[in-house]
Amino acid sequence: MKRYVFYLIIVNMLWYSISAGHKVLLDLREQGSLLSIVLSPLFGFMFLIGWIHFFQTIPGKDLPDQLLKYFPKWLTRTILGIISIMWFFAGLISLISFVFTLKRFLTPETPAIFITIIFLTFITFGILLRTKSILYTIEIVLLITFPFLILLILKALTSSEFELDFVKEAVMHINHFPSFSAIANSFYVYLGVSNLIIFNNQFQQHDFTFKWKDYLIAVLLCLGTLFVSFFIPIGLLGYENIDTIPYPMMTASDTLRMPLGIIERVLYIALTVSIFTTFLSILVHWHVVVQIAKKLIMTKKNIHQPINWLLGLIIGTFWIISIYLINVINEYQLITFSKLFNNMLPFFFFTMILLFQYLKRRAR
Amino acid sequence: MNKRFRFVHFLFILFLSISFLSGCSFRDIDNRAFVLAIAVDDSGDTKKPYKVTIKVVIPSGNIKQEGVKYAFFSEKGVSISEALALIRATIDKDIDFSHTKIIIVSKSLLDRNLGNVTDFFHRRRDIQLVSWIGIAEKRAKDILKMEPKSQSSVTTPLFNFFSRTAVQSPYITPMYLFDFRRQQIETGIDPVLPIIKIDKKEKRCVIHRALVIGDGKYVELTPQQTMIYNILRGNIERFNAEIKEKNGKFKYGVFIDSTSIYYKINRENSKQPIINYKIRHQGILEESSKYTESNLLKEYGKETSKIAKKMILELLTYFQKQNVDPLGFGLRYKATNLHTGDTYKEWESLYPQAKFTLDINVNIISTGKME
Repeated sequence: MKRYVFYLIIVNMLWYSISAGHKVLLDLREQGSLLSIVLSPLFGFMFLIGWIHFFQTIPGKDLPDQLLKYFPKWLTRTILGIISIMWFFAGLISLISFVFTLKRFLTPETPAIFITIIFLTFITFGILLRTKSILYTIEIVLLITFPFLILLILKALTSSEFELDFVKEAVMHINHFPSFSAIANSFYVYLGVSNLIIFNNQFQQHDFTFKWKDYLIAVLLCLGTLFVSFFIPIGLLGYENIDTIPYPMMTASDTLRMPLGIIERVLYIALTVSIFTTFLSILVHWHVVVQIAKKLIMTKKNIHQPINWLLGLIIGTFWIISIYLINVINEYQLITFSKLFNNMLPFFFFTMILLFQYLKRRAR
Repeated sequence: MNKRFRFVHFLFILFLSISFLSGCSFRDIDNRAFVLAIAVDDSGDTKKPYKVTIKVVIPSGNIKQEGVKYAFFSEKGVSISEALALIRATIDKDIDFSHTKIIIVSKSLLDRNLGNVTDFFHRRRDIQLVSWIGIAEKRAKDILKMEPKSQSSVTTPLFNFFSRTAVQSPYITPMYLFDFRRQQIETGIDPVLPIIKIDKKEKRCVIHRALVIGDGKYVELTPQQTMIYNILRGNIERFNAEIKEKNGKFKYGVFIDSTSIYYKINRENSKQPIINYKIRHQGILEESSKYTESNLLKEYGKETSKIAKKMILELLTYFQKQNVDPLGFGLRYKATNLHTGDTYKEWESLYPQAKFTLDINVNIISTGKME
């Protein structure tokens, strides 16, 4: 069962490599992106230990359970409310930025609302599944997409157009002191494990023990993602003007050719793979929100009817906000917003670790 | 129940993927006009400076009976997009750029900033970044319209010149659109575009020269210089070279089939950097004016390397004198020096003083099928 924790990490990692996070890192390349990438395992390691250690001590339970046990009701509600808003926005940013990408590259003539509605339909079915089914879904989808991902990465790195001099030029800018934004954005890639706040209730004691080796693999995977998503666009599109490209990873995949492949333009393979990973990312995030909402709403009276009208109301809100925002927001605002959001995350998650420490002490 | 549910879910995701396949975006294939190549000319009209010509292939049901039909459309405009919008009103089909492979820009447009000319092609999402870009010697439109003798039914002839799957010639300099952009806007490397000429009498394309697009200036390369550039840049590994006697008579020719090229910028002398080239060629004799002897193979190699050394040095100093940098020395300098100040500015002042040293070794391993 340990592998399911890795899947959670991998889903976030894959989403990161096409999200605004890596775009921001590329924009900040002269403000210490590279150094913050190199330093990020430090924070990542601290974060992973903080979270996984805590959840290992409460096998089969999730965070809402734990909070309800030790905290007064109003405090629990506030904390869970903040968490669910954060997770909702994480999913929303994934959804909107990916709808934009699809509209730009794949179906420019389809209205954005239509793409959003298709996505939302499937996600609505998805997030109402049981937690265990979600984990299975992740496994199946990752098994399908992983070979293609490896192919894409190899294709990019072995391309004769991959100019090593640009990469070296980027390395030569390692002496810039990292700005906070750069650190925050490189920290984002490690956050996959945070979904354990709900998913932990599927893991029993015997099947979820992280040893130092597992931590090392997780950190190295994330670090690899950071390097790949930083260096592949630079190697293929140049270093100095990489910030003039709104979708670096997608544009980079358009520079690859498979002259003898079934599809010559690698872009379409990259898009298909990223549809899957985005779908998973939204699924995981919003499932957490729905589960927390369920825990909050479920009183003794309506515990026997799993889908009640309040839950419908929440999902309805998801729809309305997504459809509203997809019309009013533009690309620049989205990047600014996700930058703000990512900047907030380190504070949020390290506060959570403090909360966990407190909970641990209470439990003793 | 659980197993079945998982299966249903699996199908669900499969269907999800199908719903996002691009397909024809609600437009059938017979309603589309696929653009194979775009040519941009100077119209001579100051108000509407661009003249855009597109080559469109008309889909037909049966290629064997009807053959492949091409159509050409051209229109003037203030910008390329305006010209294309005007063309759109003259075709009864929807213009589809997703199969565009060739973009040709007329040489007379070079007086303008070429970045503005190609901006449209970079910005539009359905034009592939892996299409090729070239310069037309005279009118770009003529190159599109010409049907060479060797044309086969379906492909565009220029496509075969540039994709290395068909023609492999050291004189041809293929340049991808994205490669052109990154070399043009990045400092420290200058793009080189192929110059396409047509031979009207013989009905063929001649692509053996190239144009270096420097900072506000253009340097034309002769066919020989183009070949050496392509070898040094690593665009081609296999080529022929002719060795002549002192009186200009042909002595023998070699065919090189594997090449390795490295260079390093040596900065021991802070005023005068030394660019060390290390070149290794391996090949065989291809043609000779008299009998050759296999125990003299080493001599032939030495002689070839001596001549090659002279030619390469000539080209490198030519680039230096013209102050263009198509081989990316500036980029390499930036890539090997820690960014403490403006490293590119340093290089700009250093480049005119740079010295070249060459360590070249041609290893000829066989005299061919006979001695």
